[in-house]
Amino acid sequence: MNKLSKGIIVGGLGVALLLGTGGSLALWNVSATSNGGQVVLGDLNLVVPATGQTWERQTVAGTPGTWVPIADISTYKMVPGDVVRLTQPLDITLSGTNMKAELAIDTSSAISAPAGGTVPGSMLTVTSGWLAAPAGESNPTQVGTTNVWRFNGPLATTGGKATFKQQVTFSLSSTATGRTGALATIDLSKTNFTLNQTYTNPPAA
Amino acid sequence: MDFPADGIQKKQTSPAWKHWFLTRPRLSIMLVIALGTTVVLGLLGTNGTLALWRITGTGNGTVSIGNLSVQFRDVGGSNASPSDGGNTSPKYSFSALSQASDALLPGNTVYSVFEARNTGDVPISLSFTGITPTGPSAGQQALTSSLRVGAVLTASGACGPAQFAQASLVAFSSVTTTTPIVLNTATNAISPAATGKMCVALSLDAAAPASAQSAAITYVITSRADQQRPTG
Repeated sequence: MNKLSKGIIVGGLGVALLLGTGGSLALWNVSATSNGGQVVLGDLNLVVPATGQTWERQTVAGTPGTWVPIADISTYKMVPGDVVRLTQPLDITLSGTNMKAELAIDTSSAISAPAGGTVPGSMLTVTSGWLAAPAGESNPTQVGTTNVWRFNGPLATTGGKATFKQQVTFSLSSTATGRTGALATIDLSKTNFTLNQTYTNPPAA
Repeated sequence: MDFPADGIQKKQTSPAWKHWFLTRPRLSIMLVIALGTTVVLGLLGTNGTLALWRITGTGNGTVSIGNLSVQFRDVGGSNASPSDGGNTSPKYSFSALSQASDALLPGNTVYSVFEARNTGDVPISLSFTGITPTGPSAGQQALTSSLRVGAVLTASGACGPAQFAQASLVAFSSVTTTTPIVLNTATNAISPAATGKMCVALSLDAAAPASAQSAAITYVITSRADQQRPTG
């Protein structure tokens, strides 16, 4: 290839690059903003209020299993065979078109043995359920038989925020031997309520 | 562009890695895809940076688990065992029964009362689950074999023949964990902070052998407190 050909090719490439970048050849151009609206993010939030809790216990005599209120949980002493139930308000926010989430309760660290004692983990059984859902909402569905509950979509309430009432039942095994577990405590500040977003790709439109 | 002093631009040598990729294009592409896939799978596997939202809240308050504890003591409160033996067995010396049995003759029955105070948080029932005598001699063993014992919870504290039928007394050896002497049940369980009066009867068989005469033994009564569910 002679020098002229090389020059033409290099020059053509330079022109092509200038055209491609729309740079300085000063042909007419115009800009406009598209009125595409705004993108609003959803929200996921969980607040466990410090007030509004209620406690009940199951009766032994009369009609066994009947729930009766516990006036003051701070003075109540559980003993093997006892079943007590906490009704805990949960302020839940779930918004976003494809929002889904799971609420899990972890009580694995809640029971503490007295000094020098031990409490087997099998001594305390924790199950959960819900009071009636707030108006316009549906309670989450249980994942298997676990303490994990699934919300299959955003909440219907404006803002995606509603107060649900979860019931957590603590059962102290009646098959305790000796004085196992005596003077232990169930510390609810070590009970975690965790709301996890779960996401699956929505079907193509 | 800078030129060397001799004015001749020399062809620069490619780095070794670049040369390797340039001479193996298909292998290079496959390697890049494999690396990319590994990174994606790694992210998925650790659930690390896919960054779905998550929030945790904790509960409030404490639930206490109660205690089971009993204290034995003489009527009036003296000579008491620890109010809470913890995981050890509280010891109590039942001196009133010892004193009463000093004058025990064949065919006689002596009665003594002691108290069981519920120092726990749950109603309890009591039972004797074993009586262990000590005394290896023939006379002591003859005495042990001739003794009968019975026990019952009395609401009033009265303790005498009216609280027992002679037939309800049993030999020491008959008192076991599977055949205990039951002093009270759920229906008359001792409530927390309440005190029960325990009436104990000790009799010497009218047919006690002469070898038991003047023999003396000591014995340990093992008692058991069982939790009874609160009613209501």
